[in-house]
Amino acid sequence: MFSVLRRNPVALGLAVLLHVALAVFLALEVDWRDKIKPIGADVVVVQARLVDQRELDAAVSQRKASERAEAQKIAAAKRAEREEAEVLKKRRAEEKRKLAELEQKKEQRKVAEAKKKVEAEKVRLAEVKRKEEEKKKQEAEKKRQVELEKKQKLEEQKRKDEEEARAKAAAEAKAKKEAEAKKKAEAKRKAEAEKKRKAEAKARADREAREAELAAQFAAEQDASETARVVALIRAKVERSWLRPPGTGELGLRCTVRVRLGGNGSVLLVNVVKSSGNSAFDRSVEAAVRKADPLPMPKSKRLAARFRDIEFVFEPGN
Amino acid sequence: MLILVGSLLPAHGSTLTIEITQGAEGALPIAVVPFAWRGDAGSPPPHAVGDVIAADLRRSGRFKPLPPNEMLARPSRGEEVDFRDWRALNVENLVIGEISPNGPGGYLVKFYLYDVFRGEQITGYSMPTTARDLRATAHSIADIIYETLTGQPGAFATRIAYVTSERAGKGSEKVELRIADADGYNPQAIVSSKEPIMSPAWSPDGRKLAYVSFEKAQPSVWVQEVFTGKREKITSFKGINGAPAWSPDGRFLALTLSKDGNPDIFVMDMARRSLRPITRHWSIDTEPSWAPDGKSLVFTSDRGGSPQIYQVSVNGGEPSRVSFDGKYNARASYAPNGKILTMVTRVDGQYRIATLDLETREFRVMSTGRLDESPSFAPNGSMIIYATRVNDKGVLAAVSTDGRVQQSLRIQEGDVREPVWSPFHQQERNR
Repeated sequence: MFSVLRRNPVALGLAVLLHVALAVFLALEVDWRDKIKPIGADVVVVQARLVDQRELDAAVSQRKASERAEAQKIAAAKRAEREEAEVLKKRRAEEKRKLAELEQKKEQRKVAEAKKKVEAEKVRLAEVKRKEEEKKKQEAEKKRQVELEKKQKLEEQKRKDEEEARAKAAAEAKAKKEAEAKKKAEAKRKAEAEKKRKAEAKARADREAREAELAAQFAAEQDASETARVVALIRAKVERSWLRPPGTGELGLRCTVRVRLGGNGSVLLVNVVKSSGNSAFDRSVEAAVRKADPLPMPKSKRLAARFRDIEFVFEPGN
Repeated sequence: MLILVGSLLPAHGSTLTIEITQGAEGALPIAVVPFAWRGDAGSPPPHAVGDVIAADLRRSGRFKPLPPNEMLARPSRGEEVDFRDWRALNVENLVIGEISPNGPGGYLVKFYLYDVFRGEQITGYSMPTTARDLRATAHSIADIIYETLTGQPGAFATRIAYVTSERAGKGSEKVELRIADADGYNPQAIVSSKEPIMSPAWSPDGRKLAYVSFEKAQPSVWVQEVFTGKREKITSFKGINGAPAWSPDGRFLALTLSKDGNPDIFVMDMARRSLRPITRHWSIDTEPSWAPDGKSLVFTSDRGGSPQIYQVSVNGGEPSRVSFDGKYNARASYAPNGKILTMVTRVDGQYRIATLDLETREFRVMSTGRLDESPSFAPNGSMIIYATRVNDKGVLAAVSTDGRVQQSLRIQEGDVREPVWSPFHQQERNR
């Protein structure tokens, strides 16, 4: 084999070269494929649609119609413009006229005002004169009054003095009489005061008794309402805890238990005093009371004493 | 003016009386703590006794067992019990227990029942048993708990009989009459046949089963002793021999026979083997069932145009109609207290189980299937077992008599039909 190779050096060289090249390309992982560029943002994608001839016609006619409408619109617009100009001209003439009117009116007003001022001045002067004359009259009157008063006072004084003397004498006589009457009245008053005091004392006593009665009533009513409140709480708690066997609600069963409670409502003893005849029902009754432990108790120790022994009657549906 | 004080203030010395009229009705919350195993951890007992007890109690509809994952503690001895853990969960009764090895293949099962709110033990037992009888012991414990807390005997240690059929290849069927525990476990075949078996009926002492067999291509009534397998053919007249029903004293068997032309009810004296007709009517009279006092029977008859329930004296005479709700009522049987009937009724084209209270006339539909049949009361009257169809297969289900709880029983292989619940007297097990 080596002789063949030696006889064809060129072929050998080319072959080796080829293999080396291949190896290089393999090692370098040259990719011979055509690089296909993915469609990206630089390519414009045409949203093509199949066009229908009818659609085309429709589009054309639509376009013509719209052009016609367009022309009409323009004509109408021009017309409108012209009309507007007219209106503006008219308005301006109107305004000019109005201004002239206003000017005229202003002049007339000025004249009238000047006249009014002159009149007012005349009136004012007349008024001032009148006031002065009035004042003079009042002062004369005042003087006269003062003279009259002085005279009256003097006469008054004389009369008073005479009366005083008379009154004094009468008063002394009266005083004597009154002193006597007072003494009598005093005695009477004392007697009456005594009577009144006795009556008041009695009334007070009555009132106190009455108040005590009311207080007792009130307390009793408080007790009653507190008792009712606690009974309702107890009933609610026991009813919440009562789970009885299925079907026993409609058998007309009735079970009575006697419960002894501690001071804080804890259940100390439960005894069935009257069985329902159904042992499962009786059990459920006892369990209900025990599950409701501790039972609510009244706030006052005094009332709580009445709750130490309770009889529960369990009777569904009554 | 004096105002009288209200009457709520009792006179000094008398007791306060409070009336309670409202409450809730429902299943009793109970916790059955999984029993502890005192033996080798590698070889625990074959059944979880606590689970069997809890399942029994739940199925009765009277109890609501607490799921074990909600229990705050798992006591197995009295001294481990802290009632606060159970009062917090509002559980009224607690059952704990333990199982210890007791000789080869034997176990000793101890259990205790507590009243949680009284905080005291109610009862406890120690029961030796074997691996084979472990489930039966669990059922006995469930019975004790049931009776202690409800005042009525439990029916968990009883059995049921039913008919199964399976394809046996080549288009033939294998039909079996089986007996199982009341919860569907431990089935045993007592009759096996290629031909249909129908209408099994327990004798009142629980030792015999009467049934209809189509062996020899002709329906005949057989009576078989459950424990020995001895069987005897009772009737095989021409035509229909079917629907056997034992009288409460076990001395008579009511039957449907069509030997006189059309199906009528007959009563056979089992000692003398003599027959007496009870009904004579051109209509179809079948499916007799005895009243617990043995003085009358109910049966299905279409003499009124469509099947309804009628009652007739055991001495014969004019039957009177009993069912008036709906156009189809059949297959009636009495509850053990004689006050309620269960039957199959048709509602909107669907066959359902119903109960009729004979005193109040209240008619209640108890099941919800399309093709429910064969209702049978438990011997304590607390549950009704029946057959229903699930995914086009016959399965057994039980519903509590108050309608609260429905359960499918462990599904057997094949098509299951015609369940009947055994009476209480079962002598096979040791308690």
